[in-house]
Amino acid sequence: MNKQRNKPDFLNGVPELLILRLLSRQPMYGYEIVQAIRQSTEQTLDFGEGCVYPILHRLEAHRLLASRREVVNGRSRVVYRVTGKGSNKLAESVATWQQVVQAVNHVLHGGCHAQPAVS
Amino acid sequence: MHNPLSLESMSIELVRKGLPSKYVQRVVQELADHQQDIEDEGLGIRTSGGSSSPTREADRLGDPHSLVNAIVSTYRARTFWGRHPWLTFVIAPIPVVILSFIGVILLAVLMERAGDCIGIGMWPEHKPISEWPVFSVWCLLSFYYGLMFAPSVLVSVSLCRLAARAGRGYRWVLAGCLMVGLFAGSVCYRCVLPATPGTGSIMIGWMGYPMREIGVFHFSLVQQAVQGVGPVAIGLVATWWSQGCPLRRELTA
Repeated sequence: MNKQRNKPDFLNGVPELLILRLLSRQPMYGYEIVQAIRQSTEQTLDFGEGCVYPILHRLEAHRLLASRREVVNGRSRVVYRVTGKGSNKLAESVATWQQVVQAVNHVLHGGCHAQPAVS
Repeated sequence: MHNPLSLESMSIELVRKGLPSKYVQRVVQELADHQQDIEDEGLGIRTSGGSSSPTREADRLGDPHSLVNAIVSTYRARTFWGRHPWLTFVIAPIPVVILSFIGVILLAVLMERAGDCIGIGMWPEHKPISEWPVFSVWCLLSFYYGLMFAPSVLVSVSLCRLAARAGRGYRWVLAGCLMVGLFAGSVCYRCVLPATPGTGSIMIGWMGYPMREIGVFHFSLVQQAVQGVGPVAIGLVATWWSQGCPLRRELTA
């Protein structure tokens, strides 16, 4: 949760992207999603676990996800899965993310400088 | 947040902030399931000889206040009226009521035209009121009183539903209904039944204009009060029935 408080602004939208990506591989419930994010990012991204639920509900309201209560390991859970619209949104978001990362890396690691306006 | 009661207080807080109780039940149930999973994970770690502190487990779900704010803001951001309460509940009600007036008038005109087409004359204008059939008198009175109350009632009820769906609390409901009531209470009407053919009229004015100008303004405090208080009463009833009403919670606690 401390990392949540110090989350930089450029990470806005990242949880949604990660959730769509994880759910595109297999349906999961909230706790599983949080664990998967933590493990997949080697604990680099770690946020207040309860905050995953408003994100899931927002994605569901936008019809990017669908949910259903199912019995998992003997206990009732709300399991989320990505919809067709969610898959399209994921593909679009991944492409945008890759463009942004490439552009930012280009600046951070040096690239061609424009000619100065005034020498 | 290892205390199960914190989820109950979170539930009360979410309802108090205007979120629908059905949605609150769902999100709190999911958080309870998640909390159970965290506890099971901690128990599994301790059983296998590892170290896991119940306090740290309790913190994993996040700070309750921050979580409540995140849930509320995310829910409200779903809809236009949730994101723009000032526009929806303070600025828009009066123009919407005016449009509703126009809609009611157009509907009456369409119904009259349709009646003429099929041979049912709603208002026989060539006859004095004493010769009108009962059906026509009822149509006229329905139109007159419908115009007086229907637009403001419809808009007030719609605002109550919008506030519930937007996750906005009772304050916005009351604000919207008050705006409607202020406008509805300032509109004045005058209906003159045709004692002789062609002398009937229905006049609509605002703050006594234009009736005052032509010397036919008759102020009725009761009528204006009913017009103005009606929408506010709808807002108060909706507030009372909402789970977030503090007075109701205190009285029924």
